[in-house]
Amino acid sequence: MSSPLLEIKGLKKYFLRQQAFWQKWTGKKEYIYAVDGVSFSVNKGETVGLVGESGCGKSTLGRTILRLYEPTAGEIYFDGEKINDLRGDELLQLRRRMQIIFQDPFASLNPRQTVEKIIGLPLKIQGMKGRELSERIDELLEQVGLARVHRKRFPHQFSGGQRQRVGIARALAVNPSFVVADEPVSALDVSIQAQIINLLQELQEKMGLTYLFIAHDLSVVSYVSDRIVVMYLGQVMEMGPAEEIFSSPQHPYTKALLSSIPRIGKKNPSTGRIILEGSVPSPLNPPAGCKFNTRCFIKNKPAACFHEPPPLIEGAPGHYAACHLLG
Amino acid sequence: MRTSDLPAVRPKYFEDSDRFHVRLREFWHEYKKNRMAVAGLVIVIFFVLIGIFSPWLILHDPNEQDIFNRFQPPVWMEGGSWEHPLGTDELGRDLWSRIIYGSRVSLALGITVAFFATTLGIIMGLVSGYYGGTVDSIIQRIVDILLAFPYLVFAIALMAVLGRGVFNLFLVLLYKEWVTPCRVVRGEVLAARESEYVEAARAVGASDFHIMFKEILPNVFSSVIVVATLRVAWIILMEASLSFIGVGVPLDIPSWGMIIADGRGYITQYWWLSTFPGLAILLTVLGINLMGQGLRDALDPRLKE
Repeated sequence: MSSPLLEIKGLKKYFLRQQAFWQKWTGKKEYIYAVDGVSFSVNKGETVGLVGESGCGKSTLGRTILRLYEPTAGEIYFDGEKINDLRGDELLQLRRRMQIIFQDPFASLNPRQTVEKIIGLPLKIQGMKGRELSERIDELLEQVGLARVHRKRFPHQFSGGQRQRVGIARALAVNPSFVVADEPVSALDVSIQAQIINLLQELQEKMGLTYLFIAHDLSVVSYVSDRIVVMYLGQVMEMGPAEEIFSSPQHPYTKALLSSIPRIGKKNPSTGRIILEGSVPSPLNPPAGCKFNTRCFIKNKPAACFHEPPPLIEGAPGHYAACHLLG
Repeated sequence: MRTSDLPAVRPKYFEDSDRFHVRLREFWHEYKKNRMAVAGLVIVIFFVLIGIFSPWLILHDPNEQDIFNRFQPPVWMEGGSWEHPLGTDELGRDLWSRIIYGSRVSLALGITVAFFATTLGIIMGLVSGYYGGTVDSIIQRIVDILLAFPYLVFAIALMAVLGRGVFNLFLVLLYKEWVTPCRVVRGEVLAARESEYVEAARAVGASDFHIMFKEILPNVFSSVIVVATLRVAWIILMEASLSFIGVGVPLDIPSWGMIIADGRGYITQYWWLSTFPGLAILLTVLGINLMGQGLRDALDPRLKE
């Protein structure tokens, strides 16, 4: 693999919790630690899968990378250029090179706009008009497996899969090199999921795209990803090549996640399944030390688990895990 | 099978299903299910037609005095005549003609104030809901202040200072009326702002202006239409109240509120003087309210209680 297209270093995104106005004077501020110091890189042409439970900060991370949210701290490098502070025209230029595909094609397409308008918007913003614009819309529709006749239709006249195709066409309209796919198939029927994933892979080959593929469905991620990043409560627990993560997970959280994948043909489905106790702690008040310590199933944990955040350690080449027990 | 493999030719109706006239037909189909709403629409159209064609409907100049024929009863009572179908007032002015003409002021003010107030309210609501933070706090505190004030008292005071007049009345009504659409729009914008289609528009670099007016506004418009319609009825009542008190339209423009006020002193002997303009107000407001509720049910099923 070649040089990194995207590199993030110590990226943090905290949200200030909604306060009543009098709390502004008391000075007490509560933060939601959505993304809390994440570093990784994505190489040109590869697909990095980002997995974790709901609310672990996957989507926030994806949106922060795209500068839809302002990062609280940390650095984002895109193609060697720091993009944290881009404004105005420079930001608009960036929007041309990185795009996003949303999870819910019912929510991400404006119900009052025709497909033509939805796909045309990014192009218009980048200054395209007239015949060129019209031809480009046709071309895009064809690329994602729709046809010219769909141009004047509204989102509600499409099926879920077709809508997601419209969403993909919108993201690809400006010819980006990097696309954040934020759970692009989790709102679709299983039969449609395969179609959309195949389409995404086909487009990746054709256009040389790089994906950050966010998902909570591990089977989907294992199918599309070259590398996988496992997140929990805003931090990276483990990352490495996809096959390695699946064949030899290091972090207890990854082990628990993988054991939850249903398998066909297993005699006793519950054997070997790790059931985690409780639910994800509130990101308002994350546990000290290792963030996973409240739900970790390992007995007799060392004291460090409760005091010291574990560093990401490279166990095998390119395979990192953050756990004191692996030190 | 990929979608592009499907035949490119589709039945005509499918292609057309979002043309304006088709949507209008669908809307009408939904609207007419509600009988009361249709009745409301008929009443409103009736009064609008009266307002438009009043110069041809009156029998006398509405301000023409005939002191020898004062307090004439309506035509069906003893002593009544077709000369004055609803009788005459204490100056001998023809009540029929005055009520017909009164519809003009009521409807014209009601519709114009509602239009401008809604436009202003939409802009304030969009800005308030979309930007949030300090801008939102400032606009919403202004709204709170306006809502907390006893409006009628304030309007009387303002009109007393400004003096009678249609334009002054317009200003005084506008001053408060933008508040309701503003609140409604803000609430809807708060929800729409977080939607993924807005985020998608931001991801491709759309401007705030584009997002507010092209992405969000079309999605909140149906509730705005409903609110605006219901405000018309409220404005007509306010105008009537202010004119009744004597701080509304000038004396030479007959308005329903003023006609009621004129007849108030004689209500025990000559009941018709106040009753007929009162009925006119009642019917108009009722019609608009029924229509507004019908619009609400037809446009936005979510708003049904």
